[in-house]
Amino acid sequence: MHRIYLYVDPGSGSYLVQVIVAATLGAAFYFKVGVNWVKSFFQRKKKED
Amino acid sequence: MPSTPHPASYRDPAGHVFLQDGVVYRQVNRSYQEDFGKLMDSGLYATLSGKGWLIEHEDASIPGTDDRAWKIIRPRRIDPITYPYEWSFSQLQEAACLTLDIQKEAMKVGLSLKDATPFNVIFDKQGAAIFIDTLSFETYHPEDPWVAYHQFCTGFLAPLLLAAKRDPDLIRFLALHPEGIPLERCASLLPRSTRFQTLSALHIHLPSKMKPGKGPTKKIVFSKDKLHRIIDHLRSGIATLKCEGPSTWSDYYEETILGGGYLEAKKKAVTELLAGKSIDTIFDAGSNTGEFSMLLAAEGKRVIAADVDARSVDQLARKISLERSQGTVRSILPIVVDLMNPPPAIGWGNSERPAFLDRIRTDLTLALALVHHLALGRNLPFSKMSETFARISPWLLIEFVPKHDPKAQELLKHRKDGFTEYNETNFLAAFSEHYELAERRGIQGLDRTLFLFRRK
Repeated sequence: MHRIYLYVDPGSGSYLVQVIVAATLGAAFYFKVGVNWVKSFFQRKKKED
Repeated sequence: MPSTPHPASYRDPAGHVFLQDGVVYRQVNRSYQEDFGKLMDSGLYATLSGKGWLIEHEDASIPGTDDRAWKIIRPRRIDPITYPYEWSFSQLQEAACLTLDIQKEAMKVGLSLKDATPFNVIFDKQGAAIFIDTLSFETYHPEDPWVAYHQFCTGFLAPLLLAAKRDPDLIRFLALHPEGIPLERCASLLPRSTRFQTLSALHIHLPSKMKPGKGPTKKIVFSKDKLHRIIDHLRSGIATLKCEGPSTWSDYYEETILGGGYLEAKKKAVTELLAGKSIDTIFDAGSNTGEFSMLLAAEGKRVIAADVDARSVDQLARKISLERSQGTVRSILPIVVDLMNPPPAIGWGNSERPAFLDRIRTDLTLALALVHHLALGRNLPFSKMSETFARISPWLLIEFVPKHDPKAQELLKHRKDGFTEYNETNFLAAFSEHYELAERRGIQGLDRTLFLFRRK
């Protein structure tokens, strides 16, 4: 069944969503940066060898 | 007589649109004075209108419709207005990307969009998306999230995902939900796999599961970086969405007897019939993938290309958008419309968004290879076609397809042929009620005839 909240401003609920989405995307971003750093670290090592 | 606000322009306390002597004006209220000043003084208006993203306007010196008026502006007129539920996938996609690009530009100068609905975008006569709500900008507070985020997700992202993952015709769902498709409804219609795709998981499925309520009791501070991250994620996700699949008409000319010589002969006949006539605007009814719209636009006509098949229209929309990016501008406005059931008037009092046939007026209606579909496929009498086409345009160029034509026979293959009235004599008699025949021409190689009619 669909829950429809007729008296709640849908915009207000979106604030918390944006906080969570931004945090998730931020975590994903730093994860990627970390992975790339590790990758480049080993690639550099290989080259040096 | 004092003007009254446009029936659809009542939501925004910042101002409204009104019509006076056939000219569209926008009233800017005193309460919006400061934000409007920022839009103009920050250079954002000049940047956005210079790129063709935001509608240009001039100051007008006429009184407003009420005493809240601070200023009246006259935006550039765009005609006809088409609504998001008449767009193809890539058009809605272009409008979504435009809205996000404008938000990013606005944030650079300390402004932000307070509205992000597809109804704030329209397509001009060259098929380019333009943001029309000049009063949508407000002061940006980096510590707050984006006030229009939810509206963006329900109005743009939800229909785009439904079209890409389910069916391109689900964009028409926006006529039922002009305020945006509720996220729960969208989530329930999307395939299960979309729960594991970040764009749909984060912006549709996650919020659809969250109960709106009091929200966090402690104020959580947001930042510009965080909002950029969200906008960039939406922008790149939407830009890579695809709405693939075969269209009804996409191989129409290639795979039938209609290939080769027929198409060339018909193009020649159409060009010759229209030569020297004072016809500038054309409504191409049943435009398919736009072969004839392209031909006529190349001759300097302005064409509205309408077809019921969303994928064919999308193919045309993508083509003209690509050409525009390469510097070739075509005056073609593609739209998805079922002529048997054109969009009705919607909104409060049935007066916010007028019916399709009340918006479209052109010098000529072009109806090529359409008569047999309407008459033999949908039982529509010739008299009804004549009546409606005569409402749209003073000129009509229509192709009559006889019953023994292979394409007409295809339509009759699985149904009883009760169409004893379907012949050229009755066709001419029905159309002579509203029109007089200006010229007729056979198409080489096939037993089809083009008729150019002029309204009586």
